[in-house]
Amino acid sequence: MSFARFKGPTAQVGLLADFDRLVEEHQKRVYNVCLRMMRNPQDAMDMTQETFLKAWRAKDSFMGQSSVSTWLHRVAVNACLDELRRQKKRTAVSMQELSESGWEPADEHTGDFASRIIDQTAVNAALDLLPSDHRTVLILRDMEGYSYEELAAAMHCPVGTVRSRLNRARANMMKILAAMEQNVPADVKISKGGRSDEQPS
Amino acid sequence: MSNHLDDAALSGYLDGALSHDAMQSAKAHLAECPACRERMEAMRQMIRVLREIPPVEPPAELNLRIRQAIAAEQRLENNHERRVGRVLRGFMAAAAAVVIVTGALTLSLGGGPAGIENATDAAPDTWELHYDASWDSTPSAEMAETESATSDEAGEGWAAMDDTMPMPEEAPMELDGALANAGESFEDESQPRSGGQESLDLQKIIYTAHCTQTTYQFAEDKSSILTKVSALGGFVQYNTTSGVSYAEGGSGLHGEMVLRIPQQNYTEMMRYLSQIGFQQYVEESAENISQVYSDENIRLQNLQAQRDALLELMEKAEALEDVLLLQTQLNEISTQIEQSQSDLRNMDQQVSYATINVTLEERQTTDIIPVSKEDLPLGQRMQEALYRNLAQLRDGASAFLVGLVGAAPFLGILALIAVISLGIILLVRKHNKKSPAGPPPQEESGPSSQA
Ligand SMILES: [Zn+2]
Repeated sequence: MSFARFKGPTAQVGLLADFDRLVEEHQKRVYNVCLRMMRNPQDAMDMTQETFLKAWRAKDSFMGQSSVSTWLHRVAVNACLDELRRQKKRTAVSMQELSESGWEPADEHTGDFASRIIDQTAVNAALDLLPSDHRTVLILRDMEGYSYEELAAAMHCPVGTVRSRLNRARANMMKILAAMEQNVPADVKISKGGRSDEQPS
Repeated sequence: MSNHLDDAALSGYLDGALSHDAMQSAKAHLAECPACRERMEAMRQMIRVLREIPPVEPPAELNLRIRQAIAAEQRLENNHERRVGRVLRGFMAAAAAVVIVTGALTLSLGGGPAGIENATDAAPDTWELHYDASWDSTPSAEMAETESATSDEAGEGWAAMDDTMPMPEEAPMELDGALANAGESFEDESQPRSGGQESLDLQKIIYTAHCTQTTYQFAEDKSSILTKVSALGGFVQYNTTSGVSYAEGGSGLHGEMVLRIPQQNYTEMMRYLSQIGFQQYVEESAENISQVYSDENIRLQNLQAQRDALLELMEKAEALEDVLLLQTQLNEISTQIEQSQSDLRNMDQQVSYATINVTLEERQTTDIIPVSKEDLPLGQRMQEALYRNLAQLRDGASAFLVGLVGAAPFLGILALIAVISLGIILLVRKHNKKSPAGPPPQEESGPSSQA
């Protein structure tokens, strides 16, 4: 609860002003992390708010520290991961099954397609079609620059699993992008289940 | 040409995450296979695009939402204690009025431990006191008689409110071993009184008393006081005797006792003491610490909530410096929690056990002569009659007071309603005043955040 309880009201006002500045400074980055993770503005705002609330509650322990940005980023990612897990539990369709079943590419390679179609719009659209576990690992690795060890810690699984999941996620991205280029509904192709993708490669 | 690389292998290759051998063979294959090179370039492009997706501007409402959430959290932090405290205190104050009155009624109407009174009533048959007829030292036998009269009045007053309450005078009248049976008749009475006790429990009242008794039979009275203390479930906190008895040519014994009596038996103990020898001095105080107690309780709850929040943060903290900071905070909070709990226990103890400081002094025994009433000289009997009439006058006054007090619960309930309404009004006003306070700072800075 309140860590500022034992301070005077003036200290609180000062703190609030400081905290407002902190929100102004970091809200865009935090929101964008959340948006990438959550894939929709509403959830992203919820998670951003949640992140700053957590920061407010812990303000005494990090205000003025240089690592605020890193701290906020981690809190935001953790909040999103928690929320994604909650949502996964809520959904009737077992995302777990979907993401863990994985699928083997029909061919060894996904065929030739011009790299020009690999633009932001296509990539963003393809991200939405990824199973959430794959999307998360891809976002954290390729957008947020997490190391394999950080990924393992954030996702509560061994580094080997992280590595194979990332490889699988990238492969599926390529497959989805290729399918999109051919105007084939991507989910038709990728819904063909295969063996588990969870063996470290 | 060896087998083409699959996408997973390409991914591992791009991260340099393949084993040494796999890296070498992938490199070799890529050097001779344009298709795989192209797929690798496509994947590299995909990763680059991912990395370069520019951040979007957050919706304008985001900043407002964050500020509102923080403001709400801050209000909660700042006002939770005060608001809860105020409402609770208002309610407690009103409840206190009802409870104190009910409690006082119960205790005073529950009236006399009939056993004790009747026991001392019986006393004049076996012995009588000759005393220096000073007005302020009414003999205990007289006191006992007048107490019985008070109980009659009180009994009626109670019956009007609750006819399940047995009349005090219905207690057995014929008691020889007065002290031995006193405990029993107490227990009989304590049952219907429990309702009053429960309401008293809501209130945190510290009862303290000082009294000075003089007695002709120092040793007997002292030991009977101590017996009574344990019969009432109390304990003796301090006990000392000094001096030499008159019987041994000394200048009298002097005893000091600090008795701790369960709160519900406090009145009985005081009544009992008043009948020991002559009560020279008595001073009673009832300090209501309900507010202090409830404040401390709320403080404790806040501290515990803070600790829980810290523990929650602790679970999520990953950096060592965060953990250390949280640990420091936790230690501080834990110390405060312990202090608070100890204060509450201390208050509880003081409340549950009234403190009675008793000074017992020996009187010279030369003027005590066991006689029966009939043998008393006329003047003595007239004096007794006068005492009795005076006592009746006093009882009349008590009856009036009892009636007045009897009406008090209704006044108390009115007060309760008034206080609750006031509390609600204050709360609503506060809420209305606070709610719009969130948005204004946002309206000033909102546009700037979009820039
Ligand atoms: Zn090849």
